[in-house]
Amino acid sequence: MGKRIWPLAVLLALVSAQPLAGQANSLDFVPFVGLLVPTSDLARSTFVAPPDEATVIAIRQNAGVQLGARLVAWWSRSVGWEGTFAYSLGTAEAKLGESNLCGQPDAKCDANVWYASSKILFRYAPQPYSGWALFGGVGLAVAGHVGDFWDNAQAKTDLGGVLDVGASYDLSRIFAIRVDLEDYIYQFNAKIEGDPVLETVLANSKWQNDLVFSAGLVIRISGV
Amino acid sequence: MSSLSQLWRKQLCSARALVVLALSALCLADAARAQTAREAEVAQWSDRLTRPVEDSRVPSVFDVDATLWRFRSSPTRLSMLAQDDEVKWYQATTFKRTIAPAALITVGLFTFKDKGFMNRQEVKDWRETFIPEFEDHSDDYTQFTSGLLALGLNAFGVQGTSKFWRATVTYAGGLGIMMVSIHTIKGLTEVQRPDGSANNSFPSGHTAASFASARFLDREYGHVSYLYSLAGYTMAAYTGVMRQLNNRHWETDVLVGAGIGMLSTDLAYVLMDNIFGDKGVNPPREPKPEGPRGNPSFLDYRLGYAWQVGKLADRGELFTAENGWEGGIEGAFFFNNYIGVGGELTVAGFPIDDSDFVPEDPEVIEVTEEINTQPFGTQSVFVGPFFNLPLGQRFALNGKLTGGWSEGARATINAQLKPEYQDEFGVPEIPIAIFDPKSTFGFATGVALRVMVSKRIGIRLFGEYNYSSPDYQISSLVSFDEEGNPEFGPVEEVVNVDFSYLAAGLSVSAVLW
Repeated sequence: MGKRIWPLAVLLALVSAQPLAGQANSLDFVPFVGLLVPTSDLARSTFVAPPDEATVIAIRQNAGVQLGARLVAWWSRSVGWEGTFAYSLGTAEAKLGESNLCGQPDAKCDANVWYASSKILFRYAPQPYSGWALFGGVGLAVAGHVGDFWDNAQAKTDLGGVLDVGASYDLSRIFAIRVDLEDYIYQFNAKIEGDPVLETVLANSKWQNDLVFSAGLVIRISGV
Repeated sequence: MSSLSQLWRKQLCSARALVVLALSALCLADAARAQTAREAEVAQWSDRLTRPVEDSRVPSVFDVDATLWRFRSSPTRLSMLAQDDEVKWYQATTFKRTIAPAALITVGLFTFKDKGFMNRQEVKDWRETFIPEFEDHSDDYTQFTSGLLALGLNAFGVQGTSKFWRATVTYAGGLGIMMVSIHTIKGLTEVQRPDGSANNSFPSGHTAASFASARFLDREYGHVSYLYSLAGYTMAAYTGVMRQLNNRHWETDVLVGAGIGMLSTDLAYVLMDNIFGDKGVNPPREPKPEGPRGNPSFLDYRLGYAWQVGKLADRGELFTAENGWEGGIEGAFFFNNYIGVGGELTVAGFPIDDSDFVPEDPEVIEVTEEINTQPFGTQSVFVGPFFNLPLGQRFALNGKLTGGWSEGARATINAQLKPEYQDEFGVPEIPIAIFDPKSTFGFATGVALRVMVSKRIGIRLFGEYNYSSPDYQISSLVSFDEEGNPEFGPVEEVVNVDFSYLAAGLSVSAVLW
């Protein structure tokens, strides 16, 4: 259902968008597409398995495509609030020693990640609604891991933070192109139960840094 | 003691959720009222400015100078334009409309964790400790109450912001945006509900609908009377709290859902403005003249820190109370500027230090790893006189002397079993004693310094003394029945517990002058 919603939302926003009268306050809707690049393993731990051999288990989220939308309320020319929801389609990789568990024929390794964030944005725009603008943001974020790979896992969602730097270029008073580099920072924790090979595994990591490179279309809906 | 501390935090958390929602409701109501009044004022000025001023001259339409003169800028208009230019970012409509949902979503996301400060497990654990069987489905109906009220008022001729057809389309549009957003996120995030019934907990659809409805009522009729806004957001907060008490949603779901609901309605208004323009919009109401303030009747939500005076000392001081918390609602009707009558509902909780307690039964000692005593709580409903002493336009000193019914909360002493006995008993801990409270008389007195942050919203710094001394019937573990359930027998001694405490904290008031 979600995949059918985005085109509808974009169409509705396009149809309803009206030119602004140059006001500083506005409400922007920004659908975007991005690339998720996790920079570290979700979990890596060593345990002793029979017959007394130290074995390393490593779980990693692979890079994947991300789709999402932002709602930005610009409170002034330079400060605003942004709420973001994004969903990354992807797979996970699980290695037990040298063997790739996801390489097995019946392995279920679809692993998707969703992010919800709330952040304060700061913008520098030499000329409002014409030309380029730079911005940065910081806020709270939640990352959740879903999909077949995590079906038997618990406590896989954790609070974290997000940092954002980006730029936009105005195509008109209504539309702009926006590119972002976001870093979702969080601590991953999961308890995997009933795995046929691993049985129960407590998977956790230090801090994750999930980088997201994205490009989106800014649609200035109006002031509210 | 760590578990006692956790239990205390759980109680605090439930009260905190109520206060956060209540604060939001009050702030939203006031912000919307102020904004709507300003919009109406600006619209009225615009209307006057486009109307030609009275003039004895009879200018020709070809006389450009004379025609321009008739529409000249007045000093008032110039000063208004200057004021518009000086509007600060925090006074702008966009900020006022989005700060509450942004705050709710941010706080909601902050609670999205299973341990640590303000985690989503706290309310769930509190519920399972104190009201595990609670079930009430009124939230299925209250989610739409505010919206239906707005449409009903409109249908019966009470003029709001929009005509009936546009109000209906706007409300439907807001609910549509809300439903699409909520169900998309629910489906993608797959968060398990607290009762484990499904994996579509985040965010709460009921709460989103109720806050979307409240926002609609607020934008349609908040400028007619702020009581509409207050009623709408109170009903929405009730829906959100009930979703948690019914164990259907986490605190996170409710807070984020509330934010999405409000934003959905605001987006619907933006879309309707863009699509229909001014069609179906009623002319702005004449702003009510600002008369003198009436009597300071108020409704107040408070939360504070509480210090035990009596220490709950009993039984040779084996149990002593640590400092706890107090929360409550109070309100008063004032007959004049100084004296009124009102009531208060107060809830307080205190974690218990049981480190000196050693069970008498050697068998209990053998199986026990640690003793965990539930926090002692009290709830009271008091009535009495309230006082107000104005200290200028913004400040006032409030006082009260109330008394009435008070009752302690049931508490148990639990023995946490050693790991080797947990399998044998099938549970991690067993209750070894129960404290059953009796109702009693209590009273409270206190003072508060109130500062008005807007015309109707005030923040109070309060301090108060609350006294009650209920009797507790103590029952202790006697045996286990055939199914392994503990059986209790009354201990003959009835303990009288001094529950007096001092409390101090902050509260937010809606002043109904």
